[in-house]
Amino acid sequence: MNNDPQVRAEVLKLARLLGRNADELAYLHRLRADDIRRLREQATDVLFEAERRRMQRLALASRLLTPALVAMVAQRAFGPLLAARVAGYLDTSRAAEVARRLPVSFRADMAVEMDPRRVIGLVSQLPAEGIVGVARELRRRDEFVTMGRFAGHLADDALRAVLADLDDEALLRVAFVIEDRDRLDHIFGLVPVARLASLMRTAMDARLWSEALDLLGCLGEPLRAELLNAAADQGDDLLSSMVGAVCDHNLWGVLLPAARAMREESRARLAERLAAMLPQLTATQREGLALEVQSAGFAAGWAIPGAGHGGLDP
Amino acid sequence: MQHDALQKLEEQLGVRPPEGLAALNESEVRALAEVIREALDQQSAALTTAIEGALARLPRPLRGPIRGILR
Repeated sequence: MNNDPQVRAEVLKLARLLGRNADELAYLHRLRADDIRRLREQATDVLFEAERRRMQRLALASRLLTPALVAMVAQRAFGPLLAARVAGYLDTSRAAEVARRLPVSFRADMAVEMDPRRVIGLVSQLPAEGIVGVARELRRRDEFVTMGRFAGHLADDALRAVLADLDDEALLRVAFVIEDRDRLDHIFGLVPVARLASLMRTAMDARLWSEALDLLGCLGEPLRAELLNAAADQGDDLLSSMVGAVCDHNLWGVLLPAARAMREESRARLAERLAAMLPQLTATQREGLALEVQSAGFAAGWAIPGAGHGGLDP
Repeated sequence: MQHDALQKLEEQLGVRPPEGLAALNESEVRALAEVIREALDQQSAALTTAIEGALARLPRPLRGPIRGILR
C-alpha cells in the first residue's frame, strides 16, 4: 500500500462515494493523489447526472411541501446519501430553509455524502453558527476528510467561526487532508498569530509533525516565518522535536527555505538544535543535509562538520 | 486488453479518465468500471424506494399532485 497520506485520503473519499470499503479499491494506491481525485470528480458527475431528471422533479415537487415536511421526508424516506444528492437540485434559499430544520447529526451525515461543488450556494446561505454546529459534530466523529472537502468553500466569517471553535489537533489534521491546498495560506491567515504557538506545541504533543510540516510547505513565506518563529519561541524541547521530525521524514526541503525568513535570533536557535542533532546523523544524512542547506541559500554560514566544512553557524 | 477496458471506463464516465489510470492493469480497470456501474444501479434503486417511502409519508391529498410531478 502507498504510504502517501494524500493518496490514502483520496482512495477513502472515492470508496465512500461509490459505497465501498477502501480495501476494495486498494489497487488505486498505485496512482497519484491528483488522478484519484480527478476520477472521483468524474464519478461524482456521473452519479449526479444519471438521476438528473428524477432529482429535478423531486426538487420541483418539494415546492408543494412545507420546509418542515421536506425535512421530515429527507430524514425518514431519503436518508443522508439521497438527501445530499437532491440538495444539489433544490433552490438555494429553499434548501437552506430545509437545512435549518434538520438535526445537526443528519446534516453532518449529509455533509459526508455531499459534493461541496454542488452546494456552494447553500453553504453560503447557512449561518455561521449552523456551520460551526456541523463542524463540531464532524470533529466528534473524526471526520477530517469531510471537513477538508468543505473548508475551501466556506466564506471568511464561517471559517473564522469554525477555526475559533476547532481544537489544534483537528486543525492540523484537516489541513493535512484539505481538498483545496491552495487555500491553506488564506485559511491560516485567519488564525490569530497568538494561536500559532499552541499549534506548534500540539504538533509536538500529539505527534503531528508530518501534518505541521506539510502545512508549512503550503504556506506563503510570511506565515511560514510566523510558524517557525512561534516554534523557536517555545524552547529547545519543541525545536528539537521538530528538527527530529524533519530528519526522520527527510523534510529539509520544507524547513530550510522557510527558515530563511525567520527572525535572526530564532534562526540561531534552530541552528543550535541542528548542531546538537548532527552527531546522531549518518555520514550520508549529513551530506544530504549539507546539500539542502546549500540549496536553501545558507551556504555562507551553515557549514556541516563531517561533510568537508567547518562548524555550524548562522 | 487494457485499452479496451479503459475505453469501457471512458464510456461509463462519459469523459476520458485521468491519464494516470494507465498504470492499472486490465482487470483493475474493469473492476473500477464495474464498481461505478453498481453504484449507479444502487443509486437508482435507492431513489425509487425513497420516492415510494416519501409518498407514503405525505398527507394523502398531496400524494396525487406529487406523483403527477414525478412522472
